[in-house]
Amino acid sequence: MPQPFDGNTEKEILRNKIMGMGDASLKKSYYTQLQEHVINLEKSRIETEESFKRAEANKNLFIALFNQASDGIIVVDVESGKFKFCNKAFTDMFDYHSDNPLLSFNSVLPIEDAGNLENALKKMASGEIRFLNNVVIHKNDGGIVYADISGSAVEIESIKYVLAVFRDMTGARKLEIEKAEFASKLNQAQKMEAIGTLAGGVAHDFNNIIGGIMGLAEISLDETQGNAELQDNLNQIIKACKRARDITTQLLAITYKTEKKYEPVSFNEIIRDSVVLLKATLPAGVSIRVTESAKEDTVLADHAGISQIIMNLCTNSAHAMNYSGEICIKTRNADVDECLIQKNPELLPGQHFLLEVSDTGCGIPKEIVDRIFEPFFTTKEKGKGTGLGLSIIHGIVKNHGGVISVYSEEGLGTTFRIFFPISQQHHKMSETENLSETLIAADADILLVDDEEVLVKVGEKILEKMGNRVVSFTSPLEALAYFENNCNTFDAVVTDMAMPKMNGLQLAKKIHDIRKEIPVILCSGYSDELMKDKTDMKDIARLIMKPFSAAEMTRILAEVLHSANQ
Amino acid sequence: MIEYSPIPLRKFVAPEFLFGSGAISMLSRYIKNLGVKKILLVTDLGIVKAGWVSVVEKQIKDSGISHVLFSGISPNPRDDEVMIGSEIYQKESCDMIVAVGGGSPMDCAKGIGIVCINKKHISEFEGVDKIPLPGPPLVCIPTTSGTSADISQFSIILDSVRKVKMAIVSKILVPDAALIDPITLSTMDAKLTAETGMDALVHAFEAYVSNASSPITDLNALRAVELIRNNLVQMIKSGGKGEHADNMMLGSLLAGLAFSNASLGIVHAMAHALGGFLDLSHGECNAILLEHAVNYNYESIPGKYNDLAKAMGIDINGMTYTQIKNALTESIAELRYKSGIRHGFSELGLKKEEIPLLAENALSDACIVTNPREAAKSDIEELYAAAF
Repeated sequence: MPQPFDGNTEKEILRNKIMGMGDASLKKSYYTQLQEHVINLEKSRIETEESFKRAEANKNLFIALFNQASDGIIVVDVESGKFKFCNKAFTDMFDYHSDNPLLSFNSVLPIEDAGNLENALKKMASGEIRFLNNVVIHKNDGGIVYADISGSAVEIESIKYVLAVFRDMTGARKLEIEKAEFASKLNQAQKMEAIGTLAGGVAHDFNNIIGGIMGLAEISLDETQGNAELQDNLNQIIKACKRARDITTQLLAITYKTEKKYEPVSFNEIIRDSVVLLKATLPAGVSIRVTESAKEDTVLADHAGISQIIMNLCTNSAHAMNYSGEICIKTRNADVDECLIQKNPELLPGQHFLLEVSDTGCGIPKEIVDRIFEPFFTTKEKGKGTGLGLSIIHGIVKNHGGVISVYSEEGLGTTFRIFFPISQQHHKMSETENLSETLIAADADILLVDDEEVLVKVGEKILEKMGNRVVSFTSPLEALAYFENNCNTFDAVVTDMAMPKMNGLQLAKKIHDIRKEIPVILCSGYSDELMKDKTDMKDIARLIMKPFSAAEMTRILAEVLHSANQ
Repeated sequence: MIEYSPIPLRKFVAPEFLFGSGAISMLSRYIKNLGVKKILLVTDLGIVKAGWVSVVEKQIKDSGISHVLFSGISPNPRDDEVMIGSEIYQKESCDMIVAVGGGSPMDCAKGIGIVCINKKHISEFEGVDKIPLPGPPLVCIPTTSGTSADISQFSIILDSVRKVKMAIVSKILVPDAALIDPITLSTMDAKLTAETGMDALVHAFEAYVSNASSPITDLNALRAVELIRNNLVQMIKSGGKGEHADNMMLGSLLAGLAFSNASLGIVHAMAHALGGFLDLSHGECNAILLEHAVNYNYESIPGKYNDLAKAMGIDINGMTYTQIKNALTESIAELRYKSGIRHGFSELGLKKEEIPLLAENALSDACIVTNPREAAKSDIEELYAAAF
């Protein structure tokens, strides 16, 4: 409630105000309000400008993050299926590099995959699913992308979208497949190793048995002269034994443990020689085209083994083409790098000689392609193939430090590809050894040791027939004891390798301890020990592989004695 | 030798106003020029009935904008009516106020304007220069020849709780434009013409003798007195039309220009107290009190009153001050009587025991400050008693 005026001064002030002379007296004016508005407008303009700058910075940051992300990110309109945003990783993933903006999955992918993805994303938008693992997506160019997809609903400016993240698992998936292939190859190699070991063991026992049969048959042949019927029978036995020996020899080749002499050879030259032989034996319908691109062709190899590879592969090809068509032989040099080693762990880095033998034949069915190198595996009719051809090739290649692989398509043909390491040595021109027939005659005292009694008997007969005198033992210890007392009465020692208590090498060493210069001939069917330590071979003058024929033993003994006397 | 006294410093504020026949039809031009969108039209039911609201509404319509009518206003505008009007203004998103009528709608419109912009209760603006921000554009169309609220810096609002008329005084309250058309006087009845006419006479008298008067307000005041004395009774007789009505409208305008800048005096202070207490007609209270106030004030400023006596047509030559004073009071009483205001306050319902309270309220009124004679409470009580 207004109070009465309290004295003249206050009244005077009020009077002045009424007159319009007060400090705050102003005619109606909007200037102050306007000024305030202008200041507020300016403030809000600055704020807006700063907001724009912040928004721009945030946008740039978002775009950078969006496009730097290694996962493909996409925002899709749930209703229409149209894309709102997608990042670089996404377009890269599906090789979409057009200037046109992405419209929908249909513009990137084949219809079926596009439809599947749209359905999956709809389910993600509704929350039905959150994650899809290892989705296979076909691209328009035929490529495949394996992706893990996660997604959820987002609302932008009142429109429902689904935000999906595509993680490219293609690399990881390929690695898994390669790992599986590698494991399969390793498994195959181990299987081959086991079969080889088994075959080797069997071959050893067979050789001893066949040696006895063949030796006795040969001796009996001499002793039954005049009885044509019996001689014919014996010849059949000897022939059968030789066939059996060939099979065991081949079995040993599978184990890569045959005693072969490796020397630098010209691979191209062997191919040319083999092709001449093949052309002579294969029907006229089969032609052979050779393309020699390899400049470096010297490999450290067994000449016969390489020849066998070419002969076997070409024979197989001719058969696969039903003896009508062309066999292509190509050679080139290849540098084996880490990448190739990863696929073929048996390979060593460096220059290789690459041999390719291709045909246009029936091809190898997929389901058996993994088994073709197994011994006795054959698709040929019974009696037409032993099933050893490819396993022998596999063994030879392996023994040379090489690798063989096959690529085949049913109905189109087959290509075998073989890598051999290039040797730095130069190959020698083939030498021919002329052995003098005069050397065959002998008149020597021989100490013969073999734990197999039948073989001792056979050995005695062969050596004595040559005009030698033989003292034989089935125990190496007894033989050694005898030799100690009569060392100067012998001209040579012939000993088996695998014997109980003391093997051939050990015996040879003991003998040389007693008498240094006496030559020792070692007979072997098959021996792991022999391969393990080749330095022990210094006590051995010659090695003869069992089962040997009388002629072989005669020739070798003659050579050894001839050398000893010189 | 006459002592030199310099002219005292004074301010003169008046709105832009159009005066004359056809002023009311210029409203559409103002609406267009202000570029507003929606108008709150403040008036009272009497004006609606008289037909002036529809005249104004047609112009608003012709301007192509919309409006809201607020006509719930009492003869003495109340605080709650101001607050309701302000609510309507804000709710309807108005951006201009047009007031049509006498003092009540115009004072109320001024209150609505400052309340809706400053967001405070109307009572918070009571006093002088208490309004921080001006209200929206306000155009006033007066329909009486007396209140001059259309050009004044005053808004008188009844505090309905305290039963006191609050005087809100600020140059900010001066409207943006006044469209003063004498044609609007044609719908006033004799009583209203008399009360408003006498109100205008009091405005001129009090402004002229105010201790805040200036040569410019004096010019307006004296001319106003002459015009009112010469035309009021004839205008009542002629039914509010013609030359007398025109002159009364001009007299009211000049009186308004005078009092809006020089302020008023004891008559208004006492009338505000009385009007708030008994809800009486403001013009009638003023008319009854004027002669007694002249009698009371005369001695303090006889020269000025002598000028007023001349303006009232009294030949003061050869008259003593007392004779002039008596002649002046008589001439006022005569004019009042001829206008038809012939009773005292007792007949209006005032009780003698209520006088001390009224005197106290009058002493608190802003108008008392510019009265030429400083009044004591007992003086005021005596004046009420004289007019009883």
